[in-house]
Amino acid sequence: MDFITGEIVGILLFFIGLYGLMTKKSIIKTIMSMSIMESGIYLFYVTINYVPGSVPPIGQQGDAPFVDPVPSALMITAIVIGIGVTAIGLTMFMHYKQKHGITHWSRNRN
Amino acid sequence: MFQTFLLIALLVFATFSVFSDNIKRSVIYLGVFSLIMAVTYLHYNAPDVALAEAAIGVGLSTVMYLVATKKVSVYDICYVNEDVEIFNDDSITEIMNSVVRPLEKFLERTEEVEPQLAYTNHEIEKIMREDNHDMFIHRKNNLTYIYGESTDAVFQDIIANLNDVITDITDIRVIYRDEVTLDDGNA
Amino acid sequence: MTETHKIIDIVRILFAVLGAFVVLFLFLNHAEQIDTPLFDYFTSDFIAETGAQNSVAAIYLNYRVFDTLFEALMLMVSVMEVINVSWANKHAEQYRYEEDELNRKNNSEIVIRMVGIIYPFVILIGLYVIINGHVSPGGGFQGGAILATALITRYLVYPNFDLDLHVLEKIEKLLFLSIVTTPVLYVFMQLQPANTDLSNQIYMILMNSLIGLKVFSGLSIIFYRFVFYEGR
Repeated sequence: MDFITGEIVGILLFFIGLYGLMTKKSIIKTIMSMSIMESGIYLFYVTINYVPGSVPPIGQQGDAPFVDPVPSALMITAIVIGIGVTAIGLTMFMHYKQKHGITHWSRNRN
Repeated sequence: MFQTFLLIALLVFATFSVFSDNIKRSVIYLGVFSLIMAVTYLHYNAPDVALAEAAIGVGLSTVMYLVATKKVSVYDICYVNEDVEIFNDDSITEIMNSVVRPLEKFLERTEEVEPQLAYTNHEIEKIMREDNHDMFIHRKNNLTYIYGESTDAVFQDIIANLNDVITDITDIRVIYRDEVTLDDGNA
Repeated sequence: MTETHKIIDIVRILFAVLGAFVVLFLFLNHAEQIDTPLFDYFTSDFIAETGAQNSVAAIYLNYRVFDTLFEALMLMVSVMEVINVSWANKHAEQYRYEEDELNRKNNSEIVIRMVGIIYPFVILIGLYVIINGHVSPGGGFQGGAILATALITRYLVYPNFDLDLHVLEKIEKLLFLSIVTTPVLYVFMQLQPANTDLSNQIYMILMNSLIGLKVFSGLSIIFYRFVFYEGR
């Protein structure tokens, strides 16, 4: 099972989210697909420079090497921005529902 | 080994969450996905990101999705069976394959509304007077009555496709509640 | 009509699968090894330079503090958007502090009792994560999110709109102003005392608490606007 690594799963998650974004008609489903895409990108960044046997970058460095702290610091800010994007999308969805009664992108029932 | 398990579980739950037809189920799958994601970050030695994902992805965003899901149109169905003494899970399992699953599937796939079923064994007149449901399925002896409004487009679609929706019951009467003349028809 | 739909569906599936294959192919076939100068620079001497035991906190509070500033700006913009969209056509009458009509939801007794027991511990964990953000995993963002989760549990027991969101919004903007000024004065303009060991620690704790309170107020405004959108 060598080919299942974090980077590959991150790329696959991104494309699963992209597929949902293209095919789903419900607006909430689209926002959820977007957050799955974001999660794939976070996973890709966190695992891109991972060396097995390393330790979290806290305190003095011992024998074991540190994990790269740069993607961690970037991804923390990205997660908080992601919840902001989700909140904006859901608020706009609720506004449209209240004003125009729209919950789906198309009225085509087929 | 543990890493492979976590990554495969991530893929499986992401697929469930995208391909599921019910929005509430999909939200719960997304919460489980976020939880496994937090454990995966911890496995990859990024405890700060894991803490942020556990607090934000699992806690806050799931609650926000659930609050927003409340605004989606819910189609409210009440299933009344006056014959049983006590309504328990067995009587729901009995009608699961014939009524509940096809009806839910029809409403989710074709009509794109969220079905919500309630089960009871009270008298039908009392429920109709007190509660406000979109559709009633009333079973008495061997007859099945379906009550609904004639102006309701979703209800009209259900009546038109009654053969697909309710499979095993042959003797069905449809009653429009807002019309004075009762409209009997065998489906 | 249905045939074109089927063709479009097949095109979508093909697009997703082909895209995944192309990106995976490109990713698996590049064998270039790149040096990690940023990693070496950030992990070589961060304790002496910034006073933080946790190198992630050292990065987002000292080395790359610009990221944090713009992240706080993003969160504030999204909070303003949420407020403006949800109050788009109703102004004064919705925008008030409800003092009357306090009601108690018919929740189960078990939930109310258990939340009452858990609630102070959740707040304690949030404050601990904020204050110890520079020596252990955690920090302002995570602690603020945990505090906002505590507010959600409070809503489960006591579902009333008794928070004055107007004041909370003003507090958030003031906190954003101080988040911008503190690193500008301390890191960019180097207004530091001679002995930086203690002042670095104070700067870390101050910034973490400011960010934590800002994230807490922002997320709680978003949550309360969501729940009480157009009167439930």
